Amino acid sequence: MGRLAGIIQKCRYSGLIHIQKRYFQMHSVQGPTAEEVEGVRKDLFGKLCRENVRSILQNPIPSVNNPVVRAKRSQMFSEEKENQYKELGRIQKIDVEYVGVPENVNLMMNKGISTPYDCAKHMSDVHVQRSVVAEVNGQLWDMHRPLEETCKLRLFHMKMKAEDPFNVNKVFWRSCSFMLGAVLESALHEHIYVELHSFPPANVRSGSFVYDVDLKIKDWKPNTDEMRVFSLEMRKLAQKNLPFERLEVNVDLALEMFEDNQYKKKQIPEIAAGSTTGKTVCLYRVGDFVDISRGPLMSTTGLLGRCTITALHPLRELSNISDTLYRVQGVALPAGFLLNYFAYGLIEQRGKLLNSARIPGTLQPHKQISAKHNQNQKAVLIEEETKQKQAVSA
Amino acid sequence: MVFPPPIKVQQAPKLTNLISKLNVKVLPSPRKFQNPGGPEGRLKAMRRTVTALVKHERIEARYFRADEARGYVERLISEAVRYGDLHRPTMDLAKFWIYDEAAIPKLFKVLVPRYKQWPSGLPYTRMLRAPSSIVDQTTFKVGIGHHLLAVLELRGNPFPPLPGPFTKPHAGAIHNVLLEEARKEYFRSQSTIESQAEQHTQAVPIPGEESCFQQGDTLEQLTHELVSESVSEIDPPEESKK
Repeated sequence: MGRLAGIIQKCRYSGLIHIQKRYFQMHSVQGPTAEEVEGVRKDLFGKLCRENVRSILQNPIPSVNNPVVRAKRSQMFSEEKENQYKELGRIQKIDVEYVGVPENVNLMMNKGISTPYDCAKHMSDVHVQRSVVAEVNGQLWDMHRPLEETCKLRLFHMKMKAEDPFNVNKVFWRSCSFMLGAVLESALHEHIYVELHSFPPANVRSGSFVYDVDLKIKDWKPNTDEMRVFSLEMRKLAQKNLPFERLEVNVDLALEMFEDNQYKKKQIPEIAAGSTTGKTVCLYRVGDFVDISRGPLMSTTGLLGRCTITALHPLRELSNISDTLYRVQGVALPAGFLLNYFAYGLIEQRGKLLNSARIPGTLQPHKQISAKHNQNQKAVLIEEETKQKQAVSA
Repeated sequence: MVFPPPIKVQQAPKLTNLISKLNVKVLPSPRKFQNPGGPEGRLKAMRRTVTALVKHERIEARYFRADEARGYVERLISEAVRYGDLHRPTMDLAKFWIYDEAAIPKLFKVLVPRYKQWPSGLPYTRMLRAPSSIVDQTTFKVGIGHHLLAVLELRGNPFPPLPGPFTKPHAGAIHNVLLEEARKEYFRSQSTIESQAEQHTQAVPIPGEESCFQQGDTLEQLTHELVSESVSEIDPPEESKK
């Protein structure tokens, strides 16, 4: 409330609330000065213009709002990253054996500093741009995660022909969920404090990537234009070509970071208990958005090509966590994948159905839930049930 | 007499004797091959190719000649399968295209039984591009590749299968996975009859499962599978009814 009171006081002091218009002298020879023009411009379009003040008065911005929280988390992330870098001490060298096109080479890299991304820079520009994840000693590895020991390195991309790109697709899908979280937090107005819940494990076969989010708006049915804004925000994020930074932090720091998010706060101890060390949480950052993910995620946001946020399903009836919990879904293709609009439309249509991933706060299997959206399927399910009943009675 | 006279409404002609649909692409107008004999010479050359194909079942020819002859062969076989050897126009057609009289009985006694139970949509012939030392295969355009070679063969021939085509389907690529799942979802949402139909129309083989694309002739194997499936799948519904 302190912030809001300050703004209102400012308005009164500057006289904006009572006296809104400034006048130029009629028939003046000189015309308005530059300062006067600037003043009028501020009145009309500035931060404290009438429209803004009205909206602020109507919808007061809470002291804990998304931009503030995001900046705080990002700062803590940077500080922790610097601290971890300082702890490295003396730089040691490791041998990295790169396997793949154009030829197998041995690289000498810095331990704990060099990443697969740096190795890709030694190959070619193509490797840098198209590589989604790396494989280090047979284990999937983020492109921006420092290498820790002498290892064998391979770089994976989306259009692999020799291998099945199953894992790469999964990484891409997970990254899309992550980016959707970033968009949902930043796209809405500041007076709505959006709290992200979680995203389920990536599954390309389910037809859409998902983020479950508490939007704090009741019974919101966004129209097509509003959905398109979300899709555009995804594209904007992709155009910025930001790297996915990875950091493993202690539980205490993670709890401090996510103290403003009631859902993440509960999840963090469980996640930490499930990790290999039992005390660390894996965080990722894109721009200034920080979130928890087990990873790995893709190299940069620029790898996202075509993207549509297809649906926003209220989970009010399906989960008992919150009345304003929504499941936001989307479909996307990687950059460089050209698909006919009709074929893409089919994918979009499928992406509109409620995703079959587990809904937070329930343990139900999802076939029945998705069947609600489809009458034919419901009939089939009812038939199956009756058959089972008959079998039991017999 | 009534004036004006009542209009006699004629019934629409019955659409029974239509040309059977070919499963290969045929150009709207025939290719004019240069020939000293003129159009007649062109026809003679075409007859030679068609006869050779019926006789030997697998021939090598220039790409465009093979492509042109393919349409004639497809039409000839489809007519023969439809009407048999007791139909006079069909017999005339066969006599025209197969100038070697010893090969005409082969059409009706060997090829017609072979193609009697043929999966719909599958052409009787198969054409592959053959390697040519003269020209780079990448510069294949209409009007340029006159010296390209092709292999034209009848399906179900007794020879060992040819290798190729060498392009693999990328079923694991993300858009293919999404489209495949969308297809399955569509069939799942339809009634049960269509969900049965889904099993008949498997679009792309999944790489995790047995991939028939790794060894030998792909299309050939597919056709065999199609034939065997169509035979075996008639039985189960009857059993279930009982």
